[in-house]
Amino acid sequence: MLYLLGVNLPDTRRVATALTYIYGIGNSTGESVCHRLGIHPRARLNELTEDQVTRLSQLLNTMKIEAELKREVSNRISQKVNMGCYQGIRHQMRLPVHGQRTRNNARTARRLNGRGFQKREYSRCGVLMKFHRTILN
Amino acid sequence: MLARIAGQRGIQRGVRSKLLGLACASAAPRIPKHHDAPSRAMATTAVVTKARNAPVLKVQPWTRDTASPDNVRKIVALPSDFLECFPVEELPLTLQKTFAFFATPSLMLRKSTLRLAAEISKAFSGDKSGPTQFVVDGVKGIGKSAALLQVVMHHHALKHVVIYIPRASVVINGTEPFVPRDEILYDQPALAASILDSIYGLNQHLLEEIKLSDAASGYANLGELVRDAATDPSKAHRNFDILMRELLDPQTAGLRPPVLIAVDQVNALYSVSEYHDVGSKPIEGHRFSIARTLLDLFKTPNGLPNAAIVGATDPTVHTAQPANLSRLQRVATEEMPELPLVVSHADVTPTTALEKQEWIGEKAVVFELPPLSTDEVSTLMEWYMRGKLMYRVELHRRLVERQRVMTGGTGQALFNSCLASRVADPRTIEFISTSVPEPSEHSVLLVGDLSVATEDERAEMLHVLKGGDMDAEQDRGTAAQVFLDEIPELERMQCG
Repeated sequence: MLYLLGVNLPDTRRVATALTYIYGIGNSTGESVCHRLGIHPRARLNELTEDQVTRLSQLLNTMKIEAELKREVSNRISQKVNMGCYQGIRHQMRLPVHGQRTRNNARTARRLNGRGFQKREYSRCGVLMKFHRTILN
Repeated sequence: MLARIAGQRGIQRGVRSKLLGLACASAAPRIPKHHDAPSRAMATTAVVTKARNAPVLKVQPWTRDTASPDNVRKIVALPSDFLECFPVEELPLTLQKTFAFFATPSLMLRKSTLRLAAEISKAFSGDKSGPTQFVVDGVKGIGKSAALLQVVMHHHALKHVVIYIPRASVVINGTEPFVPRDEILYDQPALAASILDSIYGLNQHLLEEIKLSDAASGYANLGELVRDAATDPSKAHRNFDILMRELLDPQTAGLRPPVLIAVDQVNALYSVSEYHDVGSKPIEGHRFSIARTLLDLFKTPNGLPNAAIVGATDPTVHTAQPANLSRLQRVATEEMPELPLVVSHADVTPTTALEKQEWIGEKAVVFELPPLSTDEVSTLMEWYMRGKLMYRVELHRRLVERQRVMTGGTGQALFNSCLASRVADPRTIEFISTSVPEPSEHSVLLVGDLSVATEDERAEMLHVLKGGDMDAEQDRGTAAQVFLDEIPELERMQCG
């Protein structure tokens, strides 16, 4: 495993695919990184030379990934919540933000949205009360 | 045991193929994943030889006297010294599949291959007006790679310098590291080193006898130059350029043995590669220095001195966008703006690019291989029976004609058909010993007598040489008619 910028990347994967394990890099960005560094498409991560790994890490340092990207996303959500706009309210209420249906489904939004804004309910009664409020909405 | 059960009479075709597959799976070792390894199907077939206990057949190896009319339609084995330089795993994939089923890699010598070898030998005769650039073309599975391989073995046996690239698609398929040489060209040091290593292995003694004309290079002979570059990729491209310059120098043409450069999958060199530049734009194949060197040889206007270059096309190589497509689009925009710019892949096949002669010189010759004749199909089927590829089949005229018609005379389709045991249908077996018709007199080829097209005919046919008989089409029509006349109407309807 290659430890790069706080992430363990699998050695045996192709370089473009291994880079997707970094938060903020997808298939497209991974391939464009390989193009900029002159790495051939079928190269595996364990075949890279030290010079190539160094240049790779230098290039990744210039990109907004991992913690910095997460911080920016969190700041944007906080900004919307503080603004009091519709999307901010939906984040606060842990409901879908982009107009999805809530009559059913919406389980992902209820699990992931607004985790930074809701206080944790440690008592069972508190969890049940929160569940009932969610159903009513 | 499963293979033995599959060979028993009365087993249905679908069940037989499944039993064979189970036999292969049970005998297959665990194959580590590697991006250079052949596909799972190829790896499985490579084990089939052991699983099915392929008989070791006595086959004469290729020698300098093999290429003669006496040996037409004979099965000839690849020589062991050639296989040391080019193991079966490095040969074209279409040939690997066939070789995997036999203990000894062998090919049938065709009349068209003899003709091709004779045409190439004319280039070494000193006639400067003759062609020195050849392209072997034909439909998929007709035997282009096999013909090229046999030509390579022929010239290797004659002690000529042979540069053989079995898979030119490695230049563009994205498996080799690449570095930019300048704004236009890109180098592939590791690939160049591996090519030089194969050149050294095949021509070691010949290269060590050729002295370098340029003393500044620091090497005593070409063998030393190639050996050094094969071990040090940083010198590979420089030494490769020196090697090509020395071998194709017109001033020293008479002082060295003839040179044959054979490239399989040559159409890959002028297609778009899997590589991208810094701006994420795909790089065209001809921008790689190895491909550029080879394509320049095809376009040399005055031919090659005491040398020849042969390329075989491969329609299975993915040509996403040929190098001339952007030029075609620009021309379409400027001259006929009302035409749509979208060009389908069917419009830019390798044959189309050959007809446009975008990448071959005016004197280059396109050699089209003919389909298999009845005699050749019979020889191959007999060989497959000896190699236990087909089970309990009586070889007779009707069966051979049917196979020839159903496969279109292509060797690959015939092999697949026999492999799938489509021939071994008990309902079609006839125990009537009918002899296969003897070859007619006009099919005998004299190597020295070449029925080459005249200059006018060549210009008319875009430098196309037909490698087979004039009445090959008539033979196929006759065979089809014989087949249709003999089968009952109901069975004909079922065959479609």
